[in-house]
Amino acid sequence: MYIVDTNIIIGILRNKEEIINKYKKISEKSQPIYLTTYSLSEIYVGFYDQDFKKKYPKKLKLQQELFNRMIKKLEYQNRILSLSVDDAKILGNLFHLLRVNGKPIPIIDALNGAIAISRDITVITSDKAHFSVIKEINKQFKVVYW
Amino acid sequence: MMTQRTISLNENSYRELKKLKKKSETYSDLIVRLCNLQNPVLNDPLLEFSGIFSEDEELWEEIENFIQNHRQSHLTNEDIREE
Repeated sequence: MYIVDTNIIIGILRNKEEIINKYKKISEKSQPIYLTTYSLSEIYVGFYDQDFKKKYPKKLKLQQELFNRMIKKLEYQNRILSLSVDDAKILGNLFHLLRVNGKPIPIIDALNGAIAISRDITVITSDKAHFSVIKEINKQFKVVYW
Repeated sequence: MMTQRTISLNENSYRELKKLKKKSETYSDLIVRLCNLQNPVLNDPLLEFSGIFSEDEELWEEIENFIQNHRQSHLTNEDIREE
C-alpha cells in the first residue's frame, strides 16, 4: 500500500513522464494507492491564492473543476485518507519525538507520516529532506523517493 | 481479419450482458469494456486526469514553489515550553 505525497500528485497532473511511468508500474500490481486530505488542502491553497487567481483566472477555474472531478472519483474509490484516532496517537508521539530531538518538519509531512506509520503504508515523495527525518526518528516508517 | 472464437453462455449471463450492451457496441466491445473496468491502471482517476496541469508550465512551477514555501512556514514546534 502507498500514499502519494503532494509533489507526486502534482507531478502526475503536470504529466511528468518519469513519475507517471513509475506510478503505472506500482498501479499495475494492483497495490492500493492513497492520497491524504492534507495533500489535497495544499493543492487547494494554490487554487485559492489571490495572486494566482488574478494572474490566471480562467485557467485556474477550469483546472480546479477538473481537479474536483478527480477527487470525487478517488473519494468514491475510498482512496483518500484522513487522521483517525489511532493515527492521532502516532502523530502525538511523532510531534513529541521531533521536538525532543530538535528536528522540526512541516506539519503536513508529519500528518502524512503518522498516517503511514499507523497503517503500515509506504509514502512516495520527492521530499527527502523532511521525510528522512521521520525515518530517522521512527524506524517503522516506510518511504521511497522518486 | 481477426480470428473469431465462440463461447457459450447460459441464458442468465446472456440477459445480464444484453442489459449492459450499448447500441453502438458489439458483444466483443462490451466484454473488452467490462474487462477494462477491472484494470487498475485504466480505472485510476489520477492517471485518467494526468496532464490536467500540464498546459501551464509557468503557472504550476509557481504554484509548486508556493506550496513548498507554505509547507516550510508551518513547521512542527521546535520548543513550546516557556523559559
